[in-house]
Amino acid sequence: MVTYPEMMELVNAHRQLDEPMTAAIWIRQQDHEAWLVEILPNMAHDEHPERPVAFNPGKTFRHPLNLIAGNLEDLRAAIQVDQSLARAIAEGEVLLGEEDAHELTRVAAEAIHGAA
Amino acid sequence: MARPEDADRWLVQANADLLAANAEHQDIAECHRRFWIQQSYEKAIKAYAIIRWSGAADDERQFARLFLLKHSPLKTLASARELLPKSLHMLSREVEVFVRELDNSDLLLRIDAAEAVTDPDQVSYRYPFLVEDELKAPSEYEDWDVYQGNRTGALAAVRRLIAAVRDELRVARRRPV
Repeated sequence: MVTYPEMMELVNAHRQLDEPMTAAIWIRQQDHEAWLVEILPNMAHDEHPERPVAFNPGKTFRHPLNLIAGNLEDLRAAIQVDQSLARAIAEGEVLLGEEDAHELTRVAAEAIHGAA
Repeated sequence: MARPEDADRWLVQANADLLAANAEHQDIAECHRRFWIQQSYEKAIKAYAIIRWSGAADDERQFARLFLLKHSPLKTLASARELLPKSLHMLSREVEVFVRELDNSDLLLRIDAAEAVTDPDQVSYRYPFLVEDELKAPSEYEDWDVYQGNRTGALAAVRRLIAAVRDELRVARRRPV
């Protein structure tokens, strides 16, 4: 099972890179694999940010990692068309960046209610 | 397709390059040692990337072309991030996180950035370059500590890197397929 300290350690390592990261949300917390949404404001436009980049586990991070990364605009657009992602983000845990993360959770909640 | 098992062969070569860098022989110049240190670093870091890589088949060729077959792999990826497939962009971040968590990571990043440049105005461990307007062969140059850090420190940093990647490989081998 993926744990909160492991996810925080990963997010803290990512935030120390030169490339800015404004938010991180841990989603699908019950999954045996780790799922992380990261907002990278300098990320180039991506039609499908909802498609995760997968990594094999290692010694430093012991779980398969599914990374959903993109700029805020692309992630916002993806949430509006992907109900599964919207639900996952609405139920996710914000690990970094209250402001941008809550913008995503707000859009996610709207997408879910709009579809209901 | 790159598989975690392949990483073992890259580590074998990383270790062989490191042994060469540290070998005792009167005909081995400092430039040769520096080149082998860089080569050892490079193969170890590529082994780590192979272990972690789980990109789509479509990106596999790019992974080889832009990472596995490149000198200065981290520097190369960082300088081309806008052009990279997303999987490689994300991989470069994961690899950099791994390096930054090691002892002497600054030295490792310096080694990564050391290139076999052909520009005569820049220090190169392979091609002659200008020192105070005089062309010198790399084998004649003496100021290598400035270029790539202290040799003993560089050897120790790469040795620790190889050990850390080997630990990662042990974990990867226990992973159910």
